[in-house]
Amino acid sequence: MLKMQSVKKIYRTDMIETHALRDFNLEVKEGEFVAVTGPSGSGKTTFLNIAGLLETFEEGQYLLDGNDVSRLNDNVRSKLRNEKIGFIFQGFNLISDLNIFDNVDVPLRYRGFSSSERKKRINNALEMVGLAARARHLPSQLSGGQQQRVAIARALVGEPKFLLADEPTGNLDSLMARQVMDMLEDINKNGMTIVMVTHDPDLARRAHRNIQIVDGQVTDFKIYESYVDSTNHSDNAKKLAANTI
Amino acid sequence: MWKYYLRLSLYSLRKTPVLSLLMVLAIATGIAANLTILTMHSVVSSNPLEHKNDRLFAVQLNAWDPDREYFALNAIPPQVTYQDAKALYDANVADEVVVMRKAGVTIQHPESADLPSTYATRMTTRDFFSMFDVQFIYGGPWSKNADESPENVVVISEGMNNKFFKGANSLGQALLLDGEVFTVVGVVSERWQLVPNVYDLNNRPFEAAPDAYLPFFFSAAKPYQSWGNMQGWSDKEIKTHADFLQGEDIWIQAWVSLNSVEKRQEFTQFLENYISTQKEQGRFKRSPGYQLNTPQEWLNINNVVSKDNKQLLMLSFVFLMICLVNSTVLMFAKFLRKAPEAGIRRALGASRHSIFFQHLTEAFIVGIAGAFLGLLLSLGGLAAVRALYNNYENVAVFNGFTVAAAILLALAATLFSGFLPAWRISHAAPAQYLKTR
Repeated sequence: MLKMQSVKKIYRTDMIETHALRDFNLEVKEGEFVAVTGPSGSGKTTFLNIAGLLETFEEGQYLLDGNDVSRLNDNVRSKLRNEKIGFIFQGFNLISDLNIFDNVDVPLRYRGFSSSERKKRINNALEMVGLAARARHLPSQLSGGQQQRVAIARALVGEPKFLLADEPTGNLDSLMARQVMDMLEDINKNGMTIVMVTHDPDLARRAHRNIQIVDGQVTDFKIYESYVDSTNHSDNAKKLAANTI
Repeated sequence: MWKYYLRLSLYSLRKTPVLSLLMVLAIATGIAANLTILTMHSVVSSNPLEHKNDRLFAVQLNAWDPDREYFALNAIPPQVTYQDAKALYDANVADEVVVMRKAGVTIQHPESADLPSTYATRMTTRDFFSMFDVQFIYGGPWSKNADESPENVVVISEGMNNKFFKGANSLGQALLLDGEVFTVVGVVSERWQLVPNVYDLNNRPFEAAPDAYLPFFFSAAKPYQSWGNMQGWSDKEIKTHADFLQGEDIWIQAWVSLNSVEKRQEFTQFLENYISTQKEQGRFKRSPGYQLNTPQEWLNINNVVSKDNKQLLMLSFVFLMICLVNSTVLMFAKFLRKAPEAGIRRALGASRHSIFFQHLTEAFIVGIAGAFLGLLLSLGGLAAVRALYNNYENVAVFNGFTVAAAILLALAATLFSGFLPAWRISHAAPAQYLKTR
């Protein structure tokens, strides 16, 4: 699903050159739920931005769904992002002027779906997160947990191949965080590949694997037993470990 | 997608009403000032006889003072003497020939008890009406005979017809001109108005069309009050009207229509022969002896578009630019505040293109609103000019050009004030705003 090989990302200013990722290697298989942890400034978000085609990189190769997406122009990257990737952010990132329905509609607008198709998909997505009744509410009229569920609906409405979540529970209290995590687990069980950046080791443990990034490199790789037991993919997991470290 | 962009733009503009209003006002003020000046300039600089520019000619004859050249324009007198005007007419060489003057004549309805008023009239030969495309609502020009042996016939304006005859067909009706009975033979439509008055630029180039027209050669018999410019250089004593007619004073405008190259050559030959004959009589000692000017050349020679007009136009564009720069700055501020939203849209699949056009649409709405308001303000501006300067009544007028200019200025304003902010926002790194939001 997602494979990065020897990826190097440098941020430059007039005075400083920061190596955000160096010789970065990672492979995520279809249907996996991967947690990415690491200290602040380690390169987690940079990795997520590159994975989400929001940023380019200097060296290396990135294969998404089997296709090399390392050097594509903005139009193609935008199209791929729209069709194959769903984003969930720590701050929800809903558009405050638009109601819930229109927020979920945003990715579909750039997809060129007909009005009826968009309406059907939006209603389904809002049903799925239990917010169909709030479709005409503004984000400010919802709780944090509800807003994140709207963001999940928005991420899923275009039926992407995988989901990138950046601290999805970072702004939520523990109860709401648990609800959101339950939801992500359910989504993953339905076949969605998820890559989630988190600081919380408890949340990371709910993923199949935990990748730790330090100084722009993958330094630790942990496969949780629950994943090995439940999927019986131990061989596959071992191969992944061998490839990525 | 455009409908979606339009909806988003309206949301966005509604969200910041004061800022939106300021942007619209900045554009409107610039466009209003520019449109007012541009409209007037377009009228002032137009040539209403463009379609006849290849065959109409203002005739200049240089019978001026042998010791000093004529003091203005192209150093050749812009008007001709009566004796030269008569010679031009009598030669019968040109396809059409018009000799004319502006005169003040008292006109009165014979049955009216009101005191007579003096009106601006044009004493002219009949070819005036065809040469300058005069439109009639009743009747037409007088006959050629009425030109040569002046008959008491008059063509009046629609305004005068409304005043004296309440708009009814007045052909055959009588009017008193300086106390003499004249018969109405034509009524000129009020729609007819050359702006500028190419045919007589010696007087105010933008004044209204005459109230009445009567045969030119009445000038020989009656000293109607001259309302036009009259200049002379000779110190020869003038005792009688006949002396005046034979004198060197210039007070008559002369135009000819020469519809072919041959005709033009023939007329040129006539002029050369005429001047040669006159030289033998001690006249026409200056060179060149004559000049024929197309309507456009005549407008240029007479500086109808003055240096002040051009500078004013330039200033109005500078003012517009300043207003647009202000609007651009406001637009920048607004769009940059919306950068996080653009970042979200980019993350959700919007291309730079989409973000650019979404914001350009918003700029376009501001531009259109600014242009519309500017158009309304410019109508006020034109009305103010008309109220302040009565000789600009025909210049400061709303016309098709004003609307076309408003549309073009709206597009220019959109591109100028919206392009850069829209481009900037569409090229912002989306990741930067997703984390910081």
